Amino acid sequence: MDWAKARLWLILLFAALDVYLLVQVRAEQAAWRSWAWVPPGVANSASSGQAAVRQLAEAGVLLETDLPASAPSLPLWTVRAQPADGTTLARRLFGADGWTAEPWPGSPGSYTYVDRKAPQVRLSVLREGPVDYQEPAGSGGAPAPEAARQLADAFLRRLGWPPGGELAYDGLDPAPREGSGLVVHYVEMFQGRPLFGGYAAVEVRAGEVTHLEGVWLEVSGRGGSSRPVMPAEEALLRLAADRGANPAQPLRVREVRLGYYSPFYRVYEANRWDVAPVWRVRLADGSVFYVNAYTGLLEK
Amino acid sequence: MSRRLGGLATDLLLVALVALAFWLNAQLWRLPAAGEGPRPLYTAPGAVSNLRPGEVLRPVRLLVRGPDGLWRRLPDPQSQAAVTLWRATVQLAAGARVTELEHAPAGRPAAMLGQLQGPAVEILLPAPLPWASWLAVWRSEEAGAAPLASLPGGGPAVDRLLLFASGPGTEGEAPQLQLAAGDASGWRRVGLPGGEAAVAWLAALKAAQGEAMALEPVAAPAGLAVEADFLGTAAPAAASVAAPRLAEVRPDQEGLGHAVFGDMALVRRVELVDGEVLFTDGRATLRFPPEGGFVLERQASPGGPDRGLGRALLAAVDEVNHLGGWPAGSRLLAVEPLPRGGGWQLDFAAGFRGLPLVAPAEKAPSGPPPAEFQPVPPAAAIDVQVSPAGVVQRIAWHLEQVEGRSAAVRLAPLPAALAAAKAAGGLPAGAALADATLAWEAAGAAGASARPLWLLTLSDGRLLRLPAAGAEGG
Repeated sequence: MDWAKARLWLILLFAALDVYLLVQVRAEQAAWRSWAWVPPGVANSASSGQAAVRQLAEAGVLLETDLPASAPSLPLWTVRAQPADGTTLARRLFGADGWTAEPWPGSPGSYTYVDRKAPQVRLSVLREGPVDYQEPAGSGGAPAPEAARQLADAFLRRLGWPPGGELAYDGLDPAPREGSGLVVHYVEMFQGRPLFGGYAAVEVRAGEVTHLEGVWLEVSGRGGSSRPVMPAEEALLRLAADRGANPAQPLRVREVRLGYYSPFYRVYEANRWDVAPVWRVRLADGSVFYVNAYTGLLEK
Repeated sequence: MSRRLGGLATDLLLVALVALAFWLNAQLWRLPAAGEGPRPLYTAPGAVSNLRPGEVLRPVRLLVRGPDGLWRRLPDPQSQAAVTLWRATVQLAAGARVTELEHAPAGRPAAMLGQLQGPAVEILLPAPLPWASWLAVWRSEEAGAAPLASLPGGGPAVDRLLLFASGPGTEGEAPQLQLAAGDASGWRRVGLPGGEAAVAWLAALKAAQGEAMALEPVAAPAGLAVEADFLGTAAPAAASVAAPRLAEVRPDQEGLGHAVFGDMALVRRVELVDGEVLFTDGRATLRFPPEGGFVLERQASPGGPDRGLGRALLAAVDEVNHLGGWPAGSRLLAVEPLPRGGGWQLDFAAGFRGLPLVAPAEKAPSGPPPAEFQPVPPAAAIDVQVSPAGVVQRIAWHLEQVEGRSAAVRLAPLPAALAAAKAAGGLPAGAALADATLAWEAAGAAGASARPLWLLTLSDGRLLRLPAAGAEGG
């Protein structure tokens, strides 16, 4: 056998096979990229640094915040709403015998707990999980942001809700109803990431907590294996394309956070559901968007 | 020395190329299936997935008139006689060259059924398509024909055919073909070539007489509008039929999910409080209601060019072939334009012994439903909504498999049923009754027997259902 000649033929054969396989890999990656984001092999079109900022500006995205440097692989998580123990919450707020319970008509298991001393102070605990507290506002000026946050923190500690896990501070907004006040937002945290469907919003007016609404989600397991998620730059490009942004009418991005998304209505309609990783994008005008970090689709 | 070095370099190059081939191969294996790549097929138990468009675009009504002058309905389109007659009719009609319909004169062109003297076949097709489209559909069913990728457009829309012998139906006579639009907007009569095709058609027509159910003019209650040529299926007061007993077909959620989404790793599962399970990836939602079947909904596609009803029909047939498949005897029952955004809703139904097997009725949109007469569109076994661009936006698939037959059910004769309809409020304003046929309505519970009903076709193409069960028979 002429080894030199055979070796030459083998080199040609494997070179041709490599070219074929390379074309196949490229085609598969392109097909998958149109469906879900794939980590780029060598170069990233939306790479970090100045080039990324320039590319975003050309797409109509003005950054007013720093972007997260990395995007890890993440799984889907399966969650369910965790109903609260209404009796315990009422005892903590109103005292051992300081309340009466009124059942919700047409919703067995849901109750409104009324303060015996001040019947307009009410705590509603729905069997699906949501908690709602209402107290009439007193007179006085708007609280300072730091004071509002301290009042909200203290109220949640007194209420002892949620029973476990971690709520993290998630910003302040002016109160939506008339009069001056602030809403302190909290978001549920799971394994160090926000789970945006679990939250508490505490309204503070004139030195009093006047309203609380909240939902707590319990993570019951993984919904699948970990998958790469797209970087924040890529998510912003998808959002800009969806919103029709351009340099003349840019999106002014105030905050970008990686977490998990759950529509608010799920607690009322579902027993258990999966949540997907999302980039939450908050704009300067206050609007908030959730971009699916697997697919780049806007969650609605 | 230099030769040895050259040999070593060549060896290293070969090793590197082999290693690269292995690495690239591993990359190919690591990449998951793309969600928009070739779609895997999912077929539910008891269904088939390879039907051609012509097989589900069978006539809604096939009437024959024999030498005795009586009209009869061929109830089972799968029967040997019906298939032979259908093939002979299509063969004969394919000779017609029609480019346009004349504007209809006063009265419906079909109002001549009672005036014909010789043998005839009347065919009501399930959708108004150009004549060239119908010919393409029928040609695609011939052995060895290529799959139908598109339908020729243009020309008049036709959904009613009447083939008749101009004389007493002797051999050698050239029959005539009358084409009409079901909405009575136009019609055309053309002569057909005689010869072997005409002889075969006459022979098939005579053979089909024996299998057909007799029809008779129905005296509708006063105040209930009925078309001039309305003929009801003759059903004596004591007639009873064996009802099919049904078993629910539960689709495999994972298998169907793969067919819809490709890679399930990105798909979220939601268990609703009413027992429904849904899967969604943000673009499409696949729901499995507790009552069985599935519903697939896709986000509205961006507006594209209106590609016509023919394209919508092909897209719907292709989609059902891929997802769920077809039960025995499936056919298109009705086509309705969608009120918002354009497009069509296509209602397909399974069949039992030639009669449509439709899903339980939906509730009336408002107010209590009339006890005897339900003026709501029938929920057929498979509903498909297609956008003007030919994209399937929604498919609701609900099938029940026929397990056997239960005790006979006595039928309420059509005149009695119509009297009940009249008492319950009558037909929708402006509509006249064009056709009535027996059908089966799934009971909505597994293991239950189907209920007989009269499926009424109105002059505007709408379908209504009317209970047809009398007292239990033996």
